[in-house]
Amino acid sequence: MTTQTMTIKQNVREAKAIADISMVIVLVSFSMLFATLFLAYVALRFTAPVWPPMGMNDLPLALPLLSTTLVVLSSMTWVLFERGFKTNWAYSTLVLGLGFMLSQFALWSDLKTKGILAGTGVFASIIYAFTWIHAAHIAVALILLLWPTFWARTGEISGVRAVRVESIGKFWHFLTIVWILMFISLFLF
Amino acid sequence: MAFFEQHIHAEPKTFLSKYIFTFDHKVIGKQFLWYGIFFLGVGGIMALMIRWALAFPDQAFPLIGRFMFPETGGIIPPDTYAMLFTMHGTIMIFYAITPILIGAFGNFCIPLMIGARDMVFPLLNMLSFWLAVLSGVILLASLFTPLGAAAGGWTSYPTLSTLIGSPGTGQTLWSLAIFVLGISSTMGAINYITTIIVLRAPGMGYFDMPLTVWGLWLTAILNAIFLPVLGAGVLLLIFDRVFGTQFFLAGAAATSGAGDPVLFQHVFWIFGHPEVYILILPAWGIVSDLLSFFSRKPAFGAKATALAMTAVTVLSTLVYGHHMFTTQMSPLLTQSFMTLTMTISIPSAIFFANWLGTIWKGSIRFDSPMLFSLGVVFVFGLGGLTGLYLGTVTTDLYLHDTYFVVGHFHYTMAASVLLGGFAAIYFWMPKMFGVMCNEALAKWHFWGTMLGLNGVFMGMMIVGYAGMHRRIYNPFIYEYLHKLIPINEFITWSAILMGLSQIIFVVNFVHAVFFKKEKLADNPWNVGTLEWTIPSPAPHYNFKEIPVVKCGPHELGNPNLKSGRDFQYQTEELVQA
Repeated sequence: MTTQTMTIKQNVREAKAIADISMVIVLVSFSMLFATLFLAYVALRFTAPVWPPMGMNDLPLALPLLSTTLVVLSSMTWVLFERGFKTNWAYSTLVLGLGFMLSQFALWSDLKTKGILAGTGVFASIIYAFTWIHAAHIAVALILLLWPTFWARTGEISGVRAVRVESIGKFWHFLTIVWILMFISLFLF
Repeated sequence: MAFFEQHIHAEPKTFLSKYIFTFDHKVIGKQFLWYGIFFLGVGGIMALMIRWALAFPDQAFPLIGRFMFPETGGIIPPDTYAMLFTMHGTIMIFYAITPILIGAFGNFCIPLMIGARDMVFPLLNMLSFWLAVLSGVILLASLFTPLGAAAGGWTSYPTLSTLIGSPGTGQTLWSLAIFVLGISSTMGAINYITTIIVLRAPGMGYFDMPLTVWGLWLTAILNAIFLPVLGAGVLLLIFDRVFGTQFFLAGAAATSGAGDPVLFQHVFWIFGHPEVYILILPAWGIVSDLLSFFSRKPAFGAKATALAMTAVTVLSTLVYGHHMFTTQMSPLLTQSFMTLTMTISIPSAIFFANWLGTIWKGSIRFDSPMLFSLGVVFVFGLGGLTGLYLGTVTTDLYLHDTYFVVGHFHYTMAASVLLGGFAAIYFWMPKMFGVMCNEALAKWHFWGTMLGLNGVFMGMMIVGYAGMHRRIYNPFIYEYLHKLIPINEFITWSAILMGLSQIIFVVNFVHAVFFKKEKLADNPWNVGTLEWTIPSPAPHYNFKEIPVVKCGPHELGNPNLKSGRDFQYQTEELVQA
């Protein structure tokens, strides 16, 4: 047992310790951002006399479902990528992530054709604002995903780089979880 | 404890890498200090304008008035007045106090006091400062927009802050600036928390950390948790203003479904109440240390002080409703919030008693940092006690939105933190710049500030108790306020005294930093914490050898000491009988 821990290099252990601790704080911070949005949602929904408000009964369900599928799959492929650092899994995550963004754009234009705009009512505001904020995070995360993909293409991922891949992965999974919560609360119930 | 030792990097040589885009926590700390002092000046001049309008509303503001308000002949117009108190609050809280206490002393003190060579994420640290600069630029730019800066108060409640209340871009830029600053502070907080957990010197347990570090650490934890809440709030406000969403609109403005203006108040105060502790915790920590250092005694109940501060940190997250007693909250809720608020007095009383216990029978040295620390003890005691009247529902219903509130939060948040910040500046001057401020001028500065601020804030509580509303423009036009005019003039003269005293500070500080040449001893205050074991000013790598900590930070006046000193360094074994 002890010999195994000894083989991990000092600098990797350091990076791992720092990454583990700081990612907890980072994710707590981001959780509070989204938690505030959900607080707003809960407060507005439970003080409204009718829910969903008039004209918001036939929200598209297929597109959000597609988004959910894509983002869940992308998290899965990332888990597979972290197992052996095969470049193809990183590409899959990137493509699925981009697909998620496209499905979001499709959702927005679908809502627009249905006549639901950001100012249509408070429920429309919630849908738009939440998906905007989430999509902005996804966009940043997609840029972050480029680095591990590049590393996997050009050489071995090990040591400190593996720790970074793990941290980026945590952020990606976090966004997946947030989307699932949004999907359930905004579109399903 | 310490997980590892950082490498010594080569010293940066170019001006850009050394002073502008620097990774060095000490230089970033100094950058934040200058940033904070600059905004302290801007916010201070705004405060004087507010006071001038309240005491002499029909006279031109002296010196710069005619230049700034040419269309009224130098008299401050009502709409400008609303912008002034909004921007004064915003600038002082987010751009003066936060950068000085948390940005400057957080960055400067944490690595030095825990025996580390730098923060754990130097790049993040640099980004944090430059985002703060960007935010400051956005905020100052909002002053020059067509309809002027934000004017809805620093709390920017809807509907004052929605397009109905403030149609100009000023409010949008205000929200954006706060959002960017929130990102900057969150980055700093992530850095501080991680640094304190992983980079403490070998042998340094949490209770061997100086209380300054405790205060900064708890502040960083609150920052990391609650700044994103404000971030989400102002983001939704920006959406409301720019993209036409309806989160904070109500009634006729919302076409279907309805937003809720009070929702913003909830979100704001979920952040806002921890925020007041974010501001005061570093000052508490600094004062707890300095009282011990200048009484030449161990800090009385240092562990209890640390735990009490932790308890306040936890409780501060549960009491935000006491800002909203007048929003038709259910009586059940107001009473719960009142009870929780009162609970905060228990830990506060514990560390306050510990402060008094620390100076009790000490051989007190009345150097300028000690004077300012004692000032904090006085003004925080007074400010804390007046908080009881505002935390109690029955009295708050009368006092809400009066100048009593303004007096209260200036005593706790402004006076205490300002004096704490000055104490820290005078105390760490030798370690930051290698020079000491002129002691006589520092004492003049203290007495001017102390007399001035007590005149101002005590006066505010009196006029508030007499019923003066906190955002009134011209008290002369209301008959019931006529009797308060002399007090209002007294407050303004006190404010002018306080403002002029700051000139002494600026002269003293600038002279010491740029023109003083004499070299100081490494440890002019005879204190044993880690930053005083190294040369002054602190060298590039801080510690050549990472120190090994063997005793607590407040080992002063130990009767068993035989070394001729009355203190021992944290790197020395505790002297026993």
